[in-house]
Parts: sequence; structure tokens; C-alpha cells
Amino acid sequence: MSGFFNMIQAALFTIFVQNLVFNGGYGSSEAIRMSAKPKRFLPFSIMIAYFSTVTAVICRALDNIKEIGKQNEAVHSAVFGVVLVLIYIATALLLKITLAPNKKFLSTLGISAVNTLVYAVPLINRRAGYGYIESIGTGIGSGFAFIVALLLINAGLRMLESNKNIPRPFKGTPAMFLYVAMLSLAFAGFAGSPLFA
Amino acid sequence: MPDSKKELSPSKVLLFGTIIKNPILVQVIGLCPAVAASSSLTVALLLSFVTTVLLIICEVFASAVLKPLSSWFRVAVYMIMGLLFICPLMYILDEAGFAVVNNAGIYLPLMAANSVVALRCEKFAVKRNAFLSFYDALATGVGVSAVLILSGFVRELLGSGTVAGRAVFDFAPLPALTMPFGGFVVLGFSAAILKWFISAFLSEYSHDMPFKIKKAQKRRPQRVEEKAARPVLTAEKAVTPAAIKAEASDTAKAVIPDIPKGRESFADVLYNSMSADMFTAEDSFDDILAGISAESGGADNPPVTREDFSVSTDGNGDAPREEAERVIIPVDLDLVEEQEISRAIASGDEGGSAD
Amino acid sequence: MAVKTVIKPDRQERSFYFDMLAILVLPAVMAWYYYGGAALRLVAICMLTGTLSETAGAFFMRCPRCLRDCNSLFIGAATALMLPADFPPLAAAAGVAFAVLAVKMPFGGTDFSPFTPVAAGYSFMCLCWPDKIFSYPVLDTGTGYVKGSSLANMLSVNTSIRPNTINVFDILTGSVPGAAGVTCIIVLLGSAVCLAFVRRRALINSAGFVAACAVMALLFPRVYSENARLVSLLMELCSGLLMFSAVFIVTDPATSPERPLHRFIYGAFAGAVCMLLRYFGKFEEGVFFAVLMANAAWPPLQERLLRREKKRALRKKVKQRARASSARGREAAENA
Repeated sequence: MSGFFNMIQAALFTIFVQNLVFNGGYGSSEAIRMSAKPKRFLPFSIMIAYFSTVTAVICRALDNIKEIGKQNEAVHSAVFGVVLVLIYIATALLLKITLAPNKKFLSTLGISAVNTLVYAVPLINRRAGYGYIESIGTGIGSGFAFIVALLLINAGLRMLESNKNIPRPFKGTPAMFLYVAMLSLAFAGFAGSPLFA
Repeated sequence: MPDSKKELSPSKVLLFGTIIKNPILVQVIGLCPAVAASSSLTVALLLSFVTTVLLIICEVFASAVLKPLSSWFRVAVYMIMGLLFICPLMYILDEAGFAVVNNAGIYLPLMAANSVVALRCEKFAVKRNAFLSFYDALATGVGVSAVLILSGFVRELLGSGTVAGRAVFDFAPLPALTMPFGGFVVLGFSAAILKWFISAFLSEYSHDMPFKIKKAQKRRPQRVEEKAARPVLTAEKAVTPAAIKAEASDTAKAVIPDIPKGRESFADVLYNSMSADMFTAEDSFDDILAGISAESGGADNPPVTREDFSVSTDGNGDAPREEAERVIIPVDLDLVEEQEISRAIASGDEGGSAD
Repeated sequence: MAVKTVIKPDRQERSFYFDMLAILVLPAVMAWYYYGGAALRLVAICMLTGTLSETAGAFFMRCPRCLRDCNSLFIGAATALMLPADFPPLAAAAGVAFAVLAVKMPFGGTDFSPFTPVAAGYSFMCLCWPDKIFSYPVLDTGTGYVKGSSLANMLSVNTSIRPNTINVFDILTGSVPGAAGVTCIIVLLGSAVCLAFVRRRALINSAGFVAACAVMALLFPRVYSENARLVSLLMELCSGLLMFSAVFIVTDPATSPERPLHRFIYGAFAGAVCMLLRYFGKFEEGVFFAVLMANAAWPPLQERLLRREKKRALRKKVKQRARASSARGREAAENA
């Protein structure tokens, strides 16, 4: 029961307190670009949650190996990166064999696997000293954090698109950056919560 | 990037990569280091160096060697190349005692998964020769570096009151700018200045910049044809619940396209919804914005506007009904309801119960 | 056929912010009563900064200046009244300038900003100077300001508060450490009454906001005493910037919905998030982050609400029509 609670706590931490997209800036370009395509929100977020969770758990297991555990940050980063790449290749191959997806699908799969958000999860877990359960929570939470970000940014983009009063120099990308800045500001209220200290 | 391969020249590639299609401020790629990591000038300089060198290595290598490989596999190769460059560099700098590695935190290794590398390689390098790819990598690297350094300088100066660790002010004027929120604010104003600069001094390219709003697309053509084939509830028929139900089920059968057996699974839904090529995505983020209307349903699903949220304040009871008229009607709405909407709109009496 | 007259409320009606500015005089007078000229000086500086920022923004951003709607003055005055009286004027000016130049003007001005500028400006100051913004002077020491612990601070550190810790009369009259213009609950209630006379619809937001806060204060008290829930209710509602925000910030017409039910839900959402931020947030007061979150979350939420309402209404209508036509069919059959 306490394990489950820890997992939920880690997931909530990832979604609200340290929202990876708004408070950490991880995967923000993917979130902003993808937010213009609402039909892909769910699948993309599921993919991110899958890659984050699997990578985080395997990296946590590798951390238990003494030879790896005692290495410095550079070696850890290299090992975690290679794990992520291997998981991506294995998933892509598995999908190719079972579902025979087209090239475009596999390219998008690549974007959902190889991005700063997914790669950051095992590195953050290591720094926070999370165990297996918390690693799973963070992985799942990263998917939820991503979809929360997508929904909020999408609503903002649609508002900005229909707003004809935006001054000319701010139309488009600049207004979007400022909108995301305000979202980041709103989420900063939860950052540093004593609950998760 | 320039439209056709014939127009490409090194100078044009440089101009487009650095200014007209700036990767961060216009294309909105590789934001993570710009938003989160570049809160100090030294870290921004390190990340700029890493990004530029990595871009040159990956683009030239992709152009010269990786063309025969599949796109999905190349993405993995880019990350491996990034790790092969960054992790040894990190190790050396760490051993040499440079504090900047610690200041950069996990953002330095994250550069290996930076989307700017994969996107530029896939969009440019694998389609062109190594010579142009080198220029593109250089231009993109300079474009990214300029933004990173500007962001690092402004945020360190205003956020910490220092420049490269040396005190300029006795106090930190706006400490919040060192947070990712500050990064987005700085990027927002930088993007606005860049936009103004292009329209003022590079007006021949300003047509690439406007905030294009694509005309709302109609529903898929086959859907329209299918609609035409739907049996319509005529006035002569007695409209009983049973009749409506029977008719709805008949038409539902007609509307649902033929789905091959064994492909109705969730994996199929996933497959269909994601089968769009990210790497052939639009050059500028404005083009992506232009696709929002179409993506969210076009004319049948207009974007949420402030008018959607508002009603007349003059006490006229019709206004909320008008507002309800503009509500997004989902595509999966029951057929009977759809027919009711069209019929009610035609007879002009719909508003009554909407509120 | 009668010709329809197009009414442009923003041009012909009196500005909402003009009314709000007029009502803000009440808390400003209390701020002057408790903290003297320092509080009014801060108000003046912030209002001036708001006006100058709007003028400069209009010039550089090439957008129309709309000083006539009093929004910039309102942003300045409201921000100043929510700050401690001894808050550095330059920092306050920076917060107001941020609200106008980064939150209001780039999105097209008063009626088009997706976020409440005052809330964004205050949140910005919270992140910049958290130690100064929540450090309140004690009243009337004679020898300058001495720092005191506000009610919100007492609640946030889970101090064992009992009914006799602070006099209820002091709480209602504002004789407790706090921001310059927000402590006097009686004056804020008076402001709400004034608002009810001029902008009754706006108070629906406030009602939702206060109701949600009250429910959460009753359900999850942070006070340990015999009548914990009641004391919690009083303390939570009277502490921090909650009541002031309920009257002046949550009611912002540019970001709030129009339908009464939606207004209530919007206010309740902001109130619930505000209390969550008070319980789990970094700062003792999270109302402005909550307002920003409500601003951001409301468009998708409202879209779903409207879609549901529409669907429900159409189903009802189809049923009614089906019933009516089946009755007609029966009638025709009987006649035949």
C-alpha cells in the first residue's frame, strides 16, 4: 500500500510540483509543436509514458550494479542514453514485425522516444534517489504531465489564433512563447512544495 | 529553408538558418536548453559550442553516410552520436575541474536528445550533399547559439545581477528570470524583436513570417458523399423513437467505412493517429499554428474564441442560444442529433432549448 | 422589419475597471488609516507605472493605447494595495510593468489578455521577492515598521491556533499584520456590496470562489482547537489576499465566463486550486497562481461543458419531437 502511495506521490510530483514541461522545460519544443495537433495527444503521451517508464525502471536496475553505480555522471548519462536507444530500437522492431507500420509512424515514434523529456526521467530519478516504485510513478507522471501541457497549450494556441488584436510583432510564435511563460508561472506556485521535500 | 534546391547557396543557407528560419525563435525546436539551462552566460556558451559541433558532425555524417538507412533508425544513430560526443567531453571537463559542467546539470547530456539535431538532419542533411549540410549545420548552430547566448546574458544579468559570474549589480534585479518561466518570457520578446527586424530590414523574406491562418477545411470529401447517401428522415414518415433508432442504426452502418478485419484494435487507432511525418513538418511554427483550425475540425469545429464564452449583456435572452449554436459539435455526434441540428437551423427555431 | 442596433458595450458603457477603481478607494482609505502615507505613495507609484507602461508599450508594440478604460490604473492600484506598505517601490513598479508589458499588451490589450494581469504581476513578484512580499509590518509601532506574522503565515506553519490567539474583532477590522489594503474584512465586504450595486453578475465569480474556499476550510482545517472547523473557516477566509481577490481579481471580466453557472464554476475552480496551493504550495498565499491556473484551464473546461450542454439539449429536443410526432401518428391512425 505504501509502495502504491509512493508511486502516486512521485507521479503527482512530476505532474504538478515539478511539471517536466513547464517547470523543467524538458520536451517543451515537442509539447508546443505537438499541441497544434490534438488528434495525436493521447497516442503521443502514451508513447512518452511508455518509454519513460521502461527506461526509468531499467536504468534503476542498472544503477544497482556496483560497477555502474559508482561511476560518475558522464558514464551514467552514456549508459542511460544507450538504454533509451536500445528500448526505442526494440520497440520499433517489435512494432514492425507485429503491426507493419509505415515509415511516418516509425519517425513519429522516434520523436516520442528520443527527446529531452524521456531522457531526463532516469537522470532525475537518479538524482532524487528514487527506487523502482517511484521510478514507475515518475515515468507514468511524465506522460500525464505531457498531456496536461498539451491540453493547456492547445487551448491557448486556439485562443491566440482567433485573437485578431495581437500587435503585429507578437503575432504567432512570440505570443505563444509568452502564453507558455504564463503557464509556467502558474505552475511555479506548486514548485518547491514542502509536501514533497 | 529556401523553397527549392536550385535556389540554395551557402550564403542563403546561412541567412535562413540564422535569421529567417531561426531554429528556436521561428521553428520552435530545441527549446529545452534555451528555456531551462541557459540561465547563465557560461552555461549558454558551453551549450552553444556543444550544439554547433554536434550539428556539424551529425549533419555531415548523415549526409555522407546515413542516407541508405531508414528514417526511424537514423534517429537512434543521431542520439548515439550525440552521446559519443557529449559524454567524453563531460568526463574530460569534469576531471579537469570545470564548474560549468555542474552548473549545466543534466542539461548537458540532454543535448544528445535535442530535437534540433534530429530535425535538421532529417529535414535537410539526408536530402542534400555534405557541403550544403555543413553550411546548414553551421547556420543552425549559429542561430541556436545566438539565442542561447542572448538568453543566458539577459537572464544572468537581470536574474542574478552578474555577467559570466562577475557582479554587475549589488542585487539581483529580477530573480524569477533564472527560472524556465523567465526563459519563455525572454524568448517571447526575442521572437517579437526578430519578427520586427525581418519585416523592417529583410522585407523580401517577410512573406515567410506572417501569421497565416489556413482557411477552415471542410470535412473529408468521402464523408460528404457518405452523408449524401444517408437516408433522411422525411416529414411524411412518423418520427417515433423506434423509427429514429432503426434509421440511425442503418445509417450508422453506412457511415462507418470498411475496416479490414483484425485492425480495429487500439494499436490500430494509435497507428492511424500517429501516421504523420514529424520530420516533414512545417518550417516555421506559424505554419503549424495555421493547421490548428483544420486539425480541430475546420468549419464544423471552430476554435474557441472569447466570443464563444460571452453572451450579450443587454439582457436579451437570445444571446446565450446563439452562443450555444457555435458550440463545437463533435464528429461522433449521434446521427439523429446531427439531423436535428441541420433541420432546426433550417427552420430557424433551434435556439429555444439550447440554453 | 426593425433595424437592429449594434451595441458596443466597451465603447458606450462605463468601463468595468473605472467602477473597480472607484471601489478600490475604500481599501485605499483603510491602507492610509493603518499605514499612513507610505501605502498611498506605493499606490501612486504603481498607478503611474501602469500608465507609463501602457503608453510605452503602445508606442513600441504598435498597438492602440486604451488608457481610457482605466485598466492600467486599476492594475497599479490593486497591485499596490496587495503589497506590504514597506515594500520597495521599485520592485512594485517592476511587477506592475510586467503585468502591463508582458501580460496585457502583447495579447492585444485589456479585453484580450488570456490571463489576469494583476495575478500575473503579483505571481511574478512572489517568485522574485518571496521574502519581502510575505513580510508584513506590524501596525503603529511609533518607531517605524516592525515585522509581524500574518494570519496566512500562522496557518501555513501549522501553528496551534486557538480562538483566543487573535481577537476576532481585530481580524474583522484589519488590525493584524498583512498587506496594506487587504486586511480589513469589513471594508472588503463593503466593497463587495458596492460591486453588487454596479456589477452584480461579477459577484457570482466571487461567490463560487469563496464557497469553494469555505468548503475546503471546513473539510480540511489547519487549526487545532475545540471548534477547529469554525475557527479554520474564519481564519482561512480572512487571511492573506483571499477576500480581496474574491472581490477585485476573480471578477476580472476579460478572463471570466459570462453565463452565471459557468461563472460560479470558474470561481469555485479558482478557489479550490487556491486552497490546494495554500495546503501544498511553496508560499503562504497561492491565490494568484490559482487565478492563473483557472485562466489557463477554463477554456478547455468550458468547451467540454458547452459541448455536454448542447448534446443534452439536443437529446431532449429529439425526444420531445419524437413523442409529438408519434402522438400525431396515432391520431392520424385513429382518424383513418
